[in-house]
Amino acid sequence: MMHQQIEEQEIVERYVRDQLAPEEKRAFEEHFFSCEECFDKVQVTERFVAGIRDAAGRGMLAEDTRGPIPLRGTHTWWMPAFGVSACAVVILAAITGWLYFVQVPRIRGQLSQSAAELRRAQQERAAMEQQPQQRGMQAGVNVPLVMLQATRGFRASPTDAILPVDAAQLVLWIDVDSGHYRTYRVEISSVAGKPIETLQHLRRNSYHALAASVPAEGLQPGEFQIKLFGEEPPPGSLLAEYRMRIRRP
Amino acid sequence: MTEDQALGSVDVQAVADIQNGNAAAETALYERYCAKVYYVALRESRSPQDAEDVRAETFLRVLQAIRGNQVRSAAALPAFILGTTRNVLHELFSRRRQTGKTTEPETAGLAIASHEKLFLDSEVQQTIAQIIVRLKPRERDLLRMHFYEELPAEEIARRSGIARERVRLVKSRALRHFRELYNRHRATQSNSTDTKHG
Repeated sequence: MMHQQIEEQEIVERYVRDQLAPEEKRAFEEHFFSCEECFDKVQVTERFVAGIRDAAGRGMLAEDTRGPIPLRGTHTWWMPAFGVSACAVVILAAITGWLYFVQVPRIRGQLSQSAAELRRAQQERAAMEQQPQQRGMQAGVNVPLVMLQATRGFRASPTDAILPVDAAQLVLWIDVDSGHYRTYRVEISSVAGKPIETLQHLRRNSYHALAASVPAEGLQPGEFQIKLFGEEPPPGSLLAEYRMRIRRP
Repeated sequence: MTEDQALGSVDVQAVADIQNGNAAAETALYERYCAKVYYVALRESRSPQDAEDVRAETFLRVLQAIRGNQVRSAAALPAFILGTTRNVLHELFSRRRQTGKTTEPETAGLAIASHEKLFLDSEVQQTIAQIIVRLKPRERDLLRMHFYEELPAEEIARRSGIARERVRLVKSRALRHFRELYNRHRATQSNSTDTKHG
């Protein structure tokens, strides 16, 4: 009996499993009596077949034994656990990336915009607070004030203003109707038409009036002509005329 | 020179030495064939005690034949030893029949070799368990259907959905793993035994 035949016909396994014909069996026994290699194969195959049959008999080769076998069991719990963890990491990374690259820049932009708006609002508030303070300061030192009345002609009597000797300023109070002008200009001149003072960029206060401070040194006793012009937005135009007479106590 | 030829020349020399009264040659011959005689005797008798008796009786007759120059061809000594073993086994079965103990396995036509439990020990079970862990579920099914349920190869291929050639491949690969692991187990055990005795 040749080794090739033994291999191709699975003689060793068939001998071990008693599946050889009597003639084949005798021939193979004669062969392995003089062949150490085949006798060794027979011994190993005997043990292998006995072991497999024993394992199958004990259910170790049953279809539903994948779980109880220790190593396979460990695989079954950590593989899904690993998969879930990996998915969680990927999702977390995606959320972090979205927050870092999308949300944070957006919020940062909103924040800087809000900061700019806040600064602008503070500036406006400071500017608004400055005017009452100036008014307060002026009022605080008993600055003389004259409320001008619009004139209808040269025959109307002028508004009298008593200017103390030590007064440095005279405040002109002019009521202004609500129009489309944001700022106003006041021109003061003598009756002869000589320019005395021009006050620009005046804004109405909360009483809908203009409070214009005029240096007292230019206001000598006598009569003055005052013109109120709308300034901004252009075009500017003459809104009213006033007559004022300065007296010294 | 092939292995068979080398063994044949050794046997020729052994026969000559035994016939010349060399006791060491008788011991060497016994050691060379005792495992094979015991294995065949064990397979057939399915009894370790009977197998030992058969082995002892076989070698007694073989050595007597060699000393009495009754061996026709020294080169055919393996076949002579096997034939003697079978004769002794037949006598054993005859005695069993007479005493009504049992029947011959071959005449009984047993499909399952009950002698396999004689080859099963803890080392084998341990090695098989290691192999099963490595197998894919379909390969386990395949081995079960082949060795335990003893289904035909065509049926196994049909049930498992794989080609017949694949069935053979899975078997041979599992057997190769078993051989490697089992030999490793035995080598480890042999080393530890040597260490203890050393």
